Formats: sequence, structure tokens, C-alpha cells
Amino acid sequence: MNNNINLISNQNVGLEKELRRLKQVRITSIICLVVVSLMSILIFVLNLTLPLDSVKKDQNTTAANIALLHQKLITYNLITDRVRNISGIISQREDYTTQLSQILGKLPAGVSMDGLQIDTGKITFSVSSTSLVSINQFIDTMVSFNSQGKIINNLVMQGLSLDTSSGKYDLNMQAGIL
Amino acid sequence: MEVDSKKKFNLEFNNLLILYRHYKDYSLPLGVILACILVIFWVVIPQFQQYLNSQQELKTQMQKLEVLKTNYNFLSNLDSAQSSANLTSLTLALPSGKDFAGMMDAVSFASAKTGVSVGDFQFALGSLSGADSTQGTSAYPSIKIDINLAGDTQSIVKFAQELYKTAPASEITSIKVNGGSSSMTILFYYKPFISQNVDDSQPITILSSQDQALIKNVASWNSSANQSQLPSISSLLSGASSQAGSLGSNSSPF
Repeated sequence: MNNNINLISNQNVGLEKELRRLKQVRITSIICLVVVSLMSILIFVLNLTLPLDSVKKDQNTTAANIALLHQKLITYNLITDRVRNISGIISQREDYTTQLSQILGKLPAGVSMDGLQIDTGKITFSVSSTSLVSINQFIDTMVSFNSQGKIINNLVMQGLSLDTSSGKYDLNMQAGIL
Repeated sequence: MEVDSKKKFNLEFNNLLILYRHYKDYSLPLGVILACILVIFWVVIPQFQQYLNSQQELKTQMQKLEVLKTNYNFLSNLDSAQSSANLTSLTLALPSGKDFAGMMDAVSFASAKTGVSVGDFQFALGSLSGADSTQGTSAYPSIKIDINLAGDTQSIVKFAQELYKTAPASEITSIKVNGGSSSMTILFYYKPFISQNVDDSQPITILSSQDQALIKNVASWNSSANQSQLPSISSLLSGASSQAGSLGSNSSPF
């Protein structure tokens, strides 16, 4: 049989194949077009719906209102500044008055404080009395303060002397103030 | 040779023409797909990034607006008169400059209240060019005053206690008591005001309860504002300029 005799043309099959491919390409392009268009519109709408402008407008309005209260704001800032500084000063400054009051409050009857010196966290004091018992009571109190470690520490008795002319005992002590 | 090259060119052109005619129908859809890809990269993705950025900015701006509204509400409800009174008492407690009159008033007030007489005194003014002078380890500028007092130990301690409750803020760095005479070194603090850069978008720091208590405490301090019974400031300053006082028993030390 002659091979050239063929009623079904091979060219038609190829053409159909090509038409199908063309159709697929066209459909793909349309899908791409639709998807891209929808995405663009969606993003455009999303960008448009963000209330950035209205928020900025609100900000401007509120800022304009605050501008009328700047005097108050400055006053308040100055108050804050003063409070911070005063607080710092009060917390860092040495206040020996509490310790002194407690020491003076424990002076037994008949004992007087003749000398006192406070400098850089150290206290030196001299007391006098005609009674050695009272002096002893005072020493006991100071030793008690020292052992408690609340008011003074490093207590040193510098000297105990008797002034025969006045008949008074003089006691000199030194301690660190807590 | 020339004829050959022309022929070759014509052949190639013909081939291209054939190819074009053959794939002509593909050109439009492929062009659309290419355009879509370009639009995605050049428009859609940047727009989406812009959307994300805008969302982030919106969040930031919303926070800023919230701060502004909070600040506005706070300032609207702030009592102007009370604020001014607080600032006045706080400024008396910590002056912005070297407040000699305030210092004199404080010493005078403590002296009058405790019965301690003030004798000689000496200022260490520091630089008069306006530069801050700090004493010792303190971070705050101060004026040092050495003062002689007459009174027993109890009175001197009371004087110190009273001085600590009197404006301007002070610190006693040394006390010497010897018999009936005493000397004291006092630092009177001051602090210049900071320059005010008003920024509405910064949240206002609300004073804590401790700060409020401190304001109340400072307002209760003795100050020149409530010392009408004391000698006038001018008379105190004339006493100060003489750099000397007497150890008498009068209530006014100067």
C-alpha cells in the first residue's frame, strides 16, 4: 500500500494542538490580567481606606488645643524639675539632727554636754558631771547605741579626767555617725 | 561575496517573517502576561509595601495621637492656681540662682524660732559670673556659709532641725559647739532652671504620690513667704554686708 495515500491529514492534528496551546495562553493571560487588576484595585482601596489623614487631622487639632495650654505645661515641667532636684538634695544631704537629738535625749540628769563637733560623718563630744555614776550611765547608753549600730558606730572613749577645782568629771568620746 | 551576504540576510529576514506570522497570535497574550508580571513587580508589590508602611505609620500616629489626647486631658484638668503655688513654694525651696535674701531669711527664721543668736558669718560666694559652684561631692550647686551661733547644745540642734525645715534647701556639713559658742557650716543649694523645649508629643510624666507628698512637705517649710514677723530682707542684707553681727539675745540675729 502506498504510504502517501492518507485520508486523515497530519497537519490538522498539529493545527488543533497549536490552537489549544494558543487558547491556553490566552486564558492564562486573561487570568493574569484579572488577578493583577483585582490585586491592584484591592491594594488601592486598602491604601485609600487607611485613616492616616484623619488621624493627622486629629493630631493637628489636639496639638492646637495643647498649644493654648503651653503655659500650664511649662509650669508643670518646672515643678517636675524642682521636685526631682529637691528630692535628690534631700536624699543625699546628711541629717545629723536625729542622732544628736537621741544622744542629747539620753543625757542623764546632772550631765551636761560641754563640747560637740560633727564633721564628715564623725562626732566628737565632751560631757561633764560631778557624779561619776551619771558619767557611767552615759557611757553605758553610748555603748548600747554603738552595739545596736543604729545611731553611732566605732565608739572610742578618748579620755576621762577630773577637774579638781570644779570637782567635775570630763568625758571625751568619738564615734562615727550612722 | 557581497551578493552572498545580501542573500543570507534576506533569508534570515524571511525566516523571521515566517516565524512572526506563525506566532503572531501568541504575541498579544504573551505581551499581556509580560505586562502583568511587570505591573506586579513595579506597581503591586511597591503598593503593598507602601500599604504595610502606611499601616505601621498609622499605628505610630495613633500612639502619638493617644499621647496628645492624654496630655491635653491632663493639662485641661490641671489647676493653674495650685500649680503656680506649688512652683512658688518649690522655687523658694530650691532657688534658680544665688538667693542671698532667702538664705538670710532662713537663718533668721531658724534663729528666731530657736532662740539661738547669730554672730559673725562668712559667705563663700564662688564665681559671680553665673557659673555653678558645687561644694564637696554634691552634684548640686550651693553657697557655703560659715556662721557663728550662741546657744547651748540643745538649741543648736533645734536650730539645725529648724533650718532643715526652712526654704531654701540647705545642708549642715559641720557643727562645732564649745561651751556657749558654736559654729556651723551650711550649704544652701540652688539650681538653675532647665531650658524648656516644649514637645507636645512627649508623654507628660505624672508626679508620683511620693513627689506629691514632697510638694506638700516643701509647701509646709518655713519660707520668706510666711515670715512677715521677721525683719525685712533689705535690713538683713545690710546686716550681711557688714559681715558681722552681735551675740546678743535679741530675736533678730542681724
